[in-house]
Amino acid sequence: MSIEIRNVSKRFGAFQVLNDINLDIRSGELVALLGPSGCGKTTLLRIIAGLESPDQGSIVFHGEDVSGHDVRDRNVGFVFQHYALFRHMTVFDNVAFGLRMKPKRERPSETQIAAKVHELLGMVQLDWLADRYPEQLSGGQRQRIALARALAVEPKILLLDEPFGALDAKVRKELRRWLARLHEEINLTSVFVTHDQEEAMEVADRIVVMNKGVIEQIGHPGEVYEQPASDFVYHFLGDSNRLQLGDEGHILFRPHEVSLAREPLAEHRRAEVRDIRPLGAITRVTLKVEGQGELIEAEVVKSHASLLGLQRGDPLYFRPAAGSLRSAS
Amino acid sequence: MSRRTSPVIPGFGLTLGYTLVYLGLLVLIPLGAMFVHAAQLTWSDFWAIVSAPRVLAALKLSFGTAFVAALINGLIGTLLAWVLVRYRFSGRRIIDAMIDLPFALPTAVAGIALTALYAPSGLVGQFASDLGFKIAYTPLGITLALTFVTLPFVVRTVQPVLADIPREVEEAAACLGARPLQVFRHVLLPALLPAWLTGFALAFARGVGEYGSVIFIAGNMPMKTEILPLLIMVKLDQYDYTGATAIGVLMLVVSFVLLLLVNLLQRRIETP
Amino acid sequence: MSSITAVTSAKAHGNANAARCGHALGRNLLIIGAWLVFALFLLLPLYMVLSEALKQGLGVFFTAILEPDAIAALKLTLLAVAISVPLNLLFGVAAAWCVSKYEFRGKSLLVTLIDLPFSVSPVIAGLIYVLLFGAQGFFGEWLQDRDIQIVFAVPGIVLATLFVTVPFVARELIPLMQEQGTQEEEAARLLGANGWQMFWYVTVPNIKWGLIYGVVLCTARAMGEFGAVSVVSGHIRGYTNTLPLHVEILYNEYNHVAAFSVASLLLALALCILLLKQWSEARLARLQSNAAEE
Repeated sequence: MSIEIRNVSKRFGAFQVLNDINLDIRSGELVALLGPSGCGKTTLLRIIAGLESPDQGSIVFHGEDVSGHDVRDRNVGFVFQHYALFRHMTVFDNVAFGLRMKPKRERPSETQIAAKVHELLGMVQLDWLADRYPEQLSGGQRQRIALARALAVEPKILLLDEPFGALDAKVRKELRRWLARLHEEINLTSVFVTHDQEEAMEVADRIVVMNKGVIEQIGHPGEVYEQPASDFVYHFLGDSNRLQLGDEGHILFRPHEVSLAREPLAEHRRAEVRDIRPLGAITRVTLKVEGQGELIEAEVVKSHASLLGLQRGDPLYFRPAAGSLRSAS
Repeated sequence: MSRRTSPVIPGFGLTLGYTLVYLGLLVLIPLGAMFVHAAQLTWSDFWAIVSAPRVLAALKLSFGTAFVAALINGLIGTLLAWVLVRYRFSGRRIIDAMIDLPFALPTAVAGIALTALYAPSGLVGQFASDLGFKIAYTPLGITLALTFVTLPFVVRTVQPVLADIPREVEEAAACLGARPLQVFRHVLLPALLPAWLTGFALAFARGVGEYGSVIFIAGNMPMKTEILPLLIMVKLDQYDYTGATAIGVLMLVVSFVLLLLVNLLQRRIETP
Repeated sequence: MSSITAVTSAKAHGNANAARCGHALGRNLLIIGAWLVFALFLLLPLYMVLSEALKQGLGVFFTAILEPDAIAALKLTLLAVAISVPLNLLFGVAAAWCVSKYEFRGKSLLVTLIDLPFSVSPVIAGLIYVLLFGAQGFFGEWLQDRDIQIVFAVPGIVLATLFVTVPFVARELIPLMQEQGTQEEEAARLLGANGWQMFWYVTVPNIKWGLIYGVVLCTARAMGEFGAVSVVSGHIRGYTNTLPLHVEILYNEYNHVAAFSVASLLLALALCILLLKQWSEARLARLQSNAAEE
């Protein structure tokens, strides 16, 4: 089911949270809303779900304007950042909740409900936890139960608010891949909110980069990384260096997009080595350039010739690699 | 992240409407009626009523005993809160549970029990008699009764705050060379003071208005041991509704001014 | 006082540091102080009530509490509880709902107003109803013409009890519901629950223990209210006397044994309430510590 967001604006008091947002999400797509906190991404997600109503604009599901529809009639699955599992219900009852809330004529029998719940718990690989209470589960388990609960009512759209935000790094990586695989299998139109660019790049088909209530760029992970539409997107999608060019403005480049040399070379700028950090496969060198307070970071493979015998305080020559440059005034 | 009003949670109009109507009918309109009734008096009439010696004596007695009782509770309440939070000893749970007894026990029962205890012939009163002074039927007895009924306030406001102060803070102070009393004075006291003041104010307000537990032990001698709420009662019994209303308004106003002062004091402490 | 020696020898859990530093003496003194306050302030009055009640034996005790006037007073007290507790429960839930689930102007004023009856003297609580519904009151003539009696009758007693118990349930629920937030309710709505289903299946189970706690406190106060009820009661035996008022009448008639017998009945109820309170409080604390872990 496709989602169209048309001219959506939202204001909380004096604060303009969303400013004329337009976005088309194709059926079956997995889209990430990426941005720093306070950029409006969660509000946009809640507006799609119907948890928040926009001041202006409309939400269209598969050609049908659902702006006026009650949250129950949108048939949307929603996974909250802190999962919002019903704390007084067992895992089984949590997952069964949506089925039991259906009007009498549509409601499946308890046997059918049980079968469905166990099927879902099997899918999230937690069938053995059916009788536990949410407080007895780990963060990752809660997250998967929240997902099973959202999927029980067979939504056409799945929305996830910072789905991995509350998990520790290792569990987060596992669940990320698992979610991407799951999306392949069930093929729902899915939108998730995140502030972690790595997460967005790894999981999403398309990334919507947001800042201060507006969309900065929409594109495939490669696109937004390689061809950022603005300085903001460039900064947000990875580490970046800014090199001042006097009156002409500055250029931006990523730490690994650099050429280093011990001797002066054409187009290379001279810098002083401030720090050398071996980080496994690569080594990071921090450089101080004349006439600029901001330090430059360069990352090269650890066997790079320029690193041989390099000491703090040594001079080093660098040049942002061609093709990676982004000028701005 | 805390969210603003969510449009999917129904019932705002219904619950707010019900709340306002219920409060309005039961609390606000009746209280307002008292002020309307008092407004029929001229200032000089009002002044004549509230400046009568008997009223002033009762005013002094009510606020004075309530203040002293609140102070006593400030001390023993803090002691109890400290002991209950910081020490594990036999009987701790019983004491903790029984602290609330004065709230659960009807005040009339407390009143007659304390009177029986502190009357000159009573279990404790006879010792006082031997020493040549009286407890019941004096301001001392009133203060004791008020201390009893308001005992839980300070304990219950200080207790949770004390429990939340991390032990590390005190340990850090001790490592910096502070002695136990210095730690208490400079580290714990400032943290506890706002809660302590809240408990004090609650106890004080309750003490000023308290009726049931006091009238038995007070002796109710005009000018000597007659509290303000009793004086309202006396005026009502004489069908002097205007007099009762004037005293009621006086009581409410003085209480609110005092509570406001405590509130301001509290704010000054919290924002140095 | 064998209990005190037991106390002093008791080991301090999790407080070994303080004890090692040589504060054991101070600690024991403080604990003894707490025990003294407890014994002198709380236990002694209890002992007094029971010993006075049983002074002339169980026979006199039972006569006093089974006497028709005492039974009538008990009935009236139960009636006042039976009306004021459910009404204030309903009010408490509604007030806590609108205060904790929504943002609106004047919210803190509303919370202050909800607490207002706590800072008003019970005598004034009675007085205001006399001023409204008494013979000389605002509605006095109107009521008299229709032969309706509120003050010095049962309705007045119920009204006064209602007034003094207004805040109890709301006060317990507001912080609890504010802490729990609205996400579970939102999740229920997203899963297809309508307003009532959301309330019954999600909200009520979550606030159950706070609700019970508030009801217990409300019951205690409704049962024991004296000042407010005293003003609006005509003190008519067997008709407008509640149990606490009955105690007063007996006491003023120098019928001390009977007064203390009825008082011990109230005391027993108070102790039951303390037990209930302790139990619901413990469940509530468990719930909150679980919520805090998340």
